[in-house]
Amino acid sequence: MVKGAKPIMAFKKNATIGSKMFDIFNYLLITLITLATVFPLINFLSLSLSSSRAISSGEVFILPVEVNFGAYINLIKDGTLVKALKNSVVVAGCGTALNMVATILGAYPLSKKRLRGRGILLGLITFTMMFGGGLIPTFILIKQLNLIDSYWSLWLLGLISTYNMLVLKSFFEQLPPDLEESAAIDGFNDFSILVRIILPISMPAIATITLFYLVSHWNSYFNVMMYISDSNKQTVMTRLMQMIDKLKTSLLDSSELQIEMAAPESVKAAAVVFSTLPILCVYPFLQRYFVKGVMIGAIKS
Amino acid sequence: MNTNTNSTVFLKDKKSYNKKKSYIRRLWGDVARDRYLYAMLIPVVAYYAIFKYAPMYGVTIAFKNFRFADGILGSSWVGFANFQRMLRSSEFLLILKNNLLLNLYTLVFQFPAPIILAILLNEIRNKYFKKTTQSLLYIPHFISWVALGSIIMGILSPSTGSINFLLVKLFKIEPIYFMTSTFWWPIVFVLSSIWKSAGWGTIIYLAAITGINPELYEAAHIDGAGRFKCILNITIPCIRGTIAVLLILNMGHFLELGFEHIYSLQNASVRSVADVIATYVYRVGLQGMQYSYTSAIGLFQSLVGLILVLLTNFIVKKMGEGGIW
Amino acid sequence: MKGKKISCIILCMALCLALSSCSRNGKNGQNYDDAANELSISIFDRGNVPASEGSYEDNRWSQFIEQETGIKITWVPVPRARSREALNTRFAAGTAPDLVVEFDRNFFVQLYNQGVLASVDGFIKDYSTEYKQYLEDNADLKQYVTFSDGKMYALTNRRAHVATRGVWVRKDWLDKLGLSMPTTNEELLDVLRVIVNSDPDGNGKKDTEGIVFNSNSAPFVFQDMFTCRDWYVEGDTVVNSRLTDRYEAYLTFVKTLYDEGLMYREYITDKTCQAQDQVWTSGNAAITWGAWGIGSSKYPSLVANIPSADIMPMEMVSTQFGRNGHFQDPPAQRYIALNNDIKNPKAAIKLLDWYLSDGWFPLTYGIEGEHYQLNDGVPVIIDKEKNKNELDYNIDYVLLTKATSNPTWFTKKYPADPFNQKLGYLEGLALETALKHTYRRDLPYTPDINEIVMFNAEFDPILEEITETVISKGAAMSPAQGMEKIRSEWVRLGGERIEQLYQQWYDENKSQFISKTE
Repeated sequence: MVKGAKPIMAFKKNATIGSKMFDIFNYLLITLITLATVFPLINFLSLSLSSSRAISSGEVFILPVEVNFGAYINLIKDGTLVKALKNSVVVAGCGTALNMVATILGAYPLSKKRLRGRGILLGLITFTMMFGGGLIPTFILIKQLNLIDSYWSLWLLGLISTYNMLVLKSFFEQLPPDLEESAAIDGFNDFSILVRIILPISMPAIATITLFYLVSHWNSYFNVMMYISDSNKQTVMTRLMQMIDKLKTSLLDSSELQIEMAAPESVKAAAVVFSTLPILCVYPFLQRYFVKGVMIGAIKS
Repeated sequence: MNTNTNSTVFLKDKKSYNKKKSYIRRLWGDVARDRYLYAMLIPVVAYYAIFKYAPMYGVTIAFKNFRFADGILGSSWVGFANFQRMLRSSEFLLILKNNLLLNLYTLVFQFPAPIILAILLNEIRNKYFKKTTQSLLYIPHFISWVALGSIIMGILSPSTGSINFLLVKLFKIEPIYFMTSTFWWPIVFVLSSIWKSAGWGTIIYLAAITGINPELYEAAHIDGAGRFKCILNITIPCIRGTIAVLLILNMGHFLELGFEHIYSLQNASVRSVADVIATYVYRVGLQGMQYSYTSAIGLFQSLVGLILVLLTNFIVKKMGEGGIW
Repeated sequence: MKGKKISCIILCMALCLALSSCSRNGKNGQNYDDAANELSISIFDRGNVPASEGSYEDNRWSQFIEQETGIKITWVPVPRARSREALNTRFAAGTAPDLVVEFDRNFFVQLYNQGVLASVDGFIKDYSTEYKQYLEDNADLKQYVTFSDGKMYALTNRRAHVATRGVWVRKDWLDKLGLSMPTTNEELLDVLRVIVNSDPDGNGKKDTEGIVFNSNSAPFVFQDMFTCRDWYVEGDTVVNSRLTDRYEAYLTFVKTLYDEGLMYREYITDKTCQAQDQVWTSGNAAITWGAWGIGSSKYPSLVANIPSADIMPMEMVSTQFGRNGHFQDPPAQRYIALNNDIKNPKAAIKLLDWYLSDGWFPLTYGIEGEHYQLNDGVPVIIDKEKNKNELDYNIDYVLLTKATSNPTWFTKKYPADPFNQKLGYLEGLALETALKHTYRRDLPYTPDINEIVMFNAEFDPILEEITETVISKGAAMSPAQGMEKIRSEWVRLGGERIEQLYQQWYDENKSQFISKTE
C-alpha cells in the first residue's frame, strides 16, 4: 500500500491542473464515502449510550443524547455475555491458528506448478466449493467423531476455507522464483524454504488471511448453534442472536411464559457494540504487518 | 522434463516399454524431489477427504424420500421426483427469479465497487489520510449481519431513522418505508452488501496494485500521460489477473446469497422480491423437515455454480488471463 | 446354487423380521429394571440462567429434580427461537434426546410422520399411575396427543388458563376526553380518531399514536375480531374463513386504521416491538394490543414516565358479524414426546408422574419459607428480586403441571403495598377480561396432512403479501380487489383440493373432537 503511493510522487513535482482537479475530486469522494460508511455505526454507538426516551423520540443522530452507561452496566452485571466473550476468544483464537497452519500447508505446495498431481488436487478441492454432503451427513460425521459440544467440531469443520487457500496460493505463485532457487542451492529443503524465506516475506498476505479467518470465526453463528448445545460454551454471536430473537419467542409460548421481556433498544445496541469491539481491536495489531508489504515490491523490481 | 524425454527417442524397438519405465522413473523422481511438499499436503488432503468428501454420500438424499427413522441409507429411492417437484413448483420459480435478480444486481454493482475504491485510494497521496480512511472503511466488514441488520433497520426507520429524518428535512417529502417497499428493498440489499464488503475488498486489489512496477508510471508520465490515463492504461490492465480470479471465485457462489444477510433484512411485505433459495431451503428444509426436497434444490444450485465457474474460467483464459487452473 | 442363495436370503429376512418384531414387542411390558436410570431431555436455552446459578445443565432446579427422583438427567439445551432447527437435525442424525419438549403440536406430527416418536399408550398403561389418572380426569386432552394412527405420541397437561391476547387502553385519556370504553369496531375507530386528533397529553404536538402492538403478530390480531383466522365449521361444512366476506371486512378495518394513522404504521419492521413499547411507555399511544398479561402493559415503566397514567383491559369489540373472543390458546400446554430410541421409557414415565404428583408445585413456586409463604392457600412471593434470580429461569423445567389460575389470586399473590396491589388488581381484571368471551375454535387442531402443510407453506406467504399490500399500499389495491386476488390465487394453487381434504379429514375425525369436560 505504501509502495502504491510511490508512482504518484512522480507527479507531485509538477502537478498539472488536471491532476490537481483529480486530487480535489478524489479526496472529496473518499471523504464522502468514508463518512457514509461510518455514520450508521456512530449512530448506533450513540444509541447504546442514550436514554430510551431520546431513542424513541428519534433525537439521537450523531452524538448520544442524555448519556448513560446503564445498558453496558446491565450487560456486564448479567455475566452471561462476558462468559460468552471469553468463549469467543478461545474459539476464534485457536480456530484461526489452526486455520493458518492448515491453509499455508495447503497453499504453498499447490502454488508449485511442478508438483505432480497438482491439477487433480486443485480440481478436487475447488469441487468442494460447490458440492457438499449437506448438513445431516456432516452432523452424523461430527457425532461419530464424538465432537458434539466440543470446540473441535467448529475448528475442524472450518479448518480450511478453500477460498482463502486459493487466494494465498495465487499470492505464493506471484513470488519471484529465483528466491527459492537460490535457497535450494544453499541446501534448504522445501519446508525450510517455506518457513525461513516464504513466510517472512508473505506477512501482508498472511495477516490478511488471518483476519479473514478471525472475523468469520467471530461472527459465525450457525455452526455454534448446531454443534454446541452446552450452555457454558455459547459464544458472543449465539448470545446476541438470542437477545434479538427474544421477543419473537415470548409470543410463541404465549400467556404465562411472558416473564422474559425483550431488551430495550439501548441494551441491544450495547450488546452489538460489546460483541463487535473486540474483533475491531484486533485490526490495528495486524495492520502493522501490511507495512512489510513494501518488501515484495522491492524484490520484484 | 524435456531433457528426460530425449533419452527415449532413439530406442525405437523398446520404445513403449522404456517410455513407460522412464515415465514411472520420472514420476518417482519428481515425487521424491517434492517429498516435503507432499508431506505438507497430508493434513490438507485428510481434511478434504474426511470433512468434505466423506459426507458427500448425503447427496443421495436428493434422490430419496428421506425419512428420519430410516436414515439416509435406509430411505427409499424416488429417482428425480424431488427435482420434478422443484421445477413444477411456482413458488420455487419465483424464488429462483428473485435469486437471479439479486445475484445480477450484486454482480453488476457490488463486484466492481472495491476495484474502483482501491484505485481511488491508491491515488491518495497523504499517508495519514489514506490510512485513516482505509481503516474506517474496513469496519463494517467486522460486524456480523445479525448486528448490521438491526443497524440498517434502525437508520432507515421512517419515524426514528436518521436517513428519513434528513430526507424529510432537506426535500420536504413524506418519509419513505425503505424496508417494506418492493422497489427500495433490493436497493437497500445491494447497498448494504457494498457497505459491508467494498472497503475490505480493496485489500486484495491494493495488494495487487502494490505489485505494479513503478517504472511503468514513470515512463507513462514522461510520455505526458495524465493521472486518469495512467489508471486506465496501467493500473487496470495490471490488476486484470486478480480481478479475473476473484470473478471466477465469485461465480462459484453465484446462486448463493448470504443467508444471514437476507434473513436479517427480510420481512413479509417484500417476500415477493426478497425470498431466495437460501431462505426457502432454511424454511422448508431445516424447519419443515423436507430435507430431500431441499437437497435437490441444493444440488441444482451446486450444478449451476459449477457450470458458471467452468464457463467463466474458460472465458477468462480465452481473454488471456490465468484463470484458477 | 441359486436356490441356496435365495433360501439364504429368505432365512436372513425371516430372522431380521423375527428379531425386529421381538424388539418391538419387548418394548412394552418389559421391565427396564436393568436399564440405566438415565434420561436426556431437551430444554429451551433462553439465556435466562444467571451466571450465579450455574448453567442450563446444572443448577439449583436440575439438582432438585435429580435428588427428588433419583434419575440422572442430562439436559440438552436448544436455542429457544431455533429449537426446530436444532432438534430436527438431531433427529435426522439419530442423536435426539430421549424426551423432547415443545409447544407446537404440528412439530410433533411432523416428527411422527418421520417415524421417530414412540407411542406412549403402552408405557402409560404399564408404568404410570398419576398421569393415567390425570388423563382419565381430563379426557379432552387425549385428542391433542393422539395422532393419525389412533395412538398417543405425547404427554401434555391442561393450561392454568387459556388467556393469550388482550388489549390495554389508556383509561385516563378516555376519562379526560369524556369517551367510554368502545364495544364495537366502529366505536373503536371513533375513539381512536378522537384521541389521535385531540392531543390528549397536551404537549401541543400531534404525536399521539392510536394502537401500538406488543407482539409481532400485528395486524393478525384483528382477524380474531372478525373471526377470520381459521377454518370454521358452518353447518357441517368446513370453511376457510380467509376466503369469506369477514376477511374483506378485516382488510377494510385494518386499512382504515392504517390510512387514517390510527395504528402504528411501522409494525412490520419493528418485529420485536421495541419501538412500539417505547411509544407506549413514554405515554404516546392510546392502546397497546397483544398479550393479555400485566407484563405487556408495561405499567411500571408507563407510570414512571407519566405518573397520571391509568390503564384498563378492553374486551374484544363486536362487529357486524357478532362478537368473537380474543385469541386463546388450546388447553394443551407443553407436549412431551418420547424418542423411539429411548433406552428407559419406564424412567421417563416415572419422572413425568413425579411432576404431576410432587414436582410441579415446588418447581412453580419455589421452596416454602424461602421463595413463598402460603396466604389463604395462595402462595405469596416473599422477595420478588430473589425469585427473579433463583426461580424464574426454571419455567422450562416444569414439564407437566397441575397449576391453575384464578383471577382473585393476583391481589393475594402480590405484596401488600398499594402499587403492587394495583398491579395484582389489574392483572386479575385482565385475565377476567381475556377469558370473558370464548375464542371460537371449531377444529381443535389443524389437520396433519402433508399436502395441506405443503399447500399452506405456499399459500400463506402469498396471502400475507396481498394482505400487506391492501393495508399499507394506499390506493394500489382496495380490500375488494385484494379479496378477488386472494380467491383467484387460492384457485390457481389448487385450493379446492385442500377444501376437499379438509372436509374429508373433518368427517373422519369429528367424532373424536371433544370440547372441554366440565
